[in-house]
Amino acid sequence: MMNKTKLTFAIAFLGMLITAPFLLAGDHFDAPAVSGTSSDLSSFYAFEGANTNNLVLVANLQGLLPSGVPTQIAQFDEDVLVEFNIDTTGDLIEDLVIQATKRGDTMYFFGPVVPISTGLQSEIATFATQSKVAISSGTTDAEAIVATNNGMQFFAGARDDAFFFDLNRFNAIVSGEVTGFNEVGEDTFAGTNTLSIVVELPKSMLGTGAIGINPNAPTTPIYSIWVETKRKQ
Amino acid sequence: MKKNLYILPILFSILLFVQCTEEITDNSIIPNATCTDGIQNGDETGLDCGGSNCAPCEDAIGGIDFSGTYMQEDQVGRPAVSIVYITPGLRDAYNTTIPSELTANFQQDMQANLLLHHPAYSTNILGQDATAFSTLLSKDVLWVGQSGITTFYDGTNILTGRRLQDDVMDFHLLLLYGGADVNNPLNDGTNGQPLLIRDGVSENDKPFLANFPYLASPF
Repeated sequence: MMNKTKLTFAIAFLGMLITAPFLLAGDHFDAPAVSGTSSDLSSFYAFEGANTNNLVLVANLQGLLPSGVPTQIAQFDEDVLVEFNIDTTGDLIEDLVIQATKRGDTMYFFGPVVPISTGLQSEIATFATQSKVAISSGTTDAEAIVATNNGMQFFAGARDDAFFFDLNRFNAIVSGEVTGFNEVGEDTFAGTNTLSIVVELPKSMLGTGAIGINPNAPTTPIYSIWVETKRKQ
Repeated sequence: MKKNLYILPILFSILLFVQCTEEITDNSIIPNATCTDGIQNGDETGLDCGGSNCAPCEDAIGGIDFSGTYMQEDQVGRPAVSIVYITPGLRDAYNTTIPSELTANFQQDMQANLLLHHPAYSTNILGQDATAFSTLLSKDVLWVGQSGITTFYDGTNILTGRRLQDDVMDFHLLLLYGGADVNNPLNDGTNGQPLLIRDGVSENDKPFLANFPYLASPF
């Protein structure tokens, strides 16, 4: 039996399919105000680096870009600030930020630094450690431009979308067309790209983290991290 | 006598230099670090620039304008929380609510959507009832371990990060539809039940890199 939410999803998705296929294709599945825009975040990753002293932060924007699009029409926006927020104490308030924004053909980075203010409104902390990397426009690994500064590494440019999911089947389940997934699904994100910002930095720059945050790993020191996009007013 | 007059200012300069050297080695005795004293002191990040009081150091950014106020439009902590658990009309509000206020504002909506998706929901493999599970979801930040394996879920470690290869959607589906017993999950496509705990896509279409920038090259 189809419930109310599923029905709502079904109508919403059907409406999008019929009237605005680009919107569905331009976003993993987000909200109307940012869907398909230059501030639209598609994914966030945070994991230990190949050097286990380091942490890697990945922000992906403008997901589901078809092949060739990132270097042609999809571009980072000079009016958009991408901000990694790191809470080291467990109160869900950022203690440190790493800010990234594009100027010209270059992505500039500031931090990690104590933010000028916490919350929804930001200014760029130009007094913090400054780094930059030329935005990669090539499509091969050899063409990926990587910059290093102060023990950190930086990348900005188009990459394969790392997200994998049978989104079309999920939509069909939610809309009540089918009852379940297939044993072998189809990756809706195969062959598509995102615009990616990648930062690798020593964990020591973020302090020790807080214990007792994750009940599944109560003795592991935890950083609580999220990524935001903010637009210049 | 005239010669001695020359020596006095030289001696004075030497004394001043010695004093300055001491000031550099012991910041605590500087009464007033200024942005014009010719010394990198206080919290300056360069000589008489940067820090909380002086103008920005412009060597790296070359006078480019980074001024202005930026207002939030989107945010992501854990993957796919908004789409699965937030009512569509509330997602813009969700994206512009600071994480520390998400539980107060959205936990009830998340719990309602959880139960709409899966009316028979009782508990998950973490032992959480609908209230506990939706409360966890509403603290929508990515927990990242300072030590140990950083993974969304690898069969052993739970919510200690998110690697590129982690099958995050299968974990979402397992928590939502799989019930309490990880070894005998519900909705696994057997016993007349639909397959809802995995989507049949378990890896990316392109191999990731072993080293920075880790993400695969674009198509």
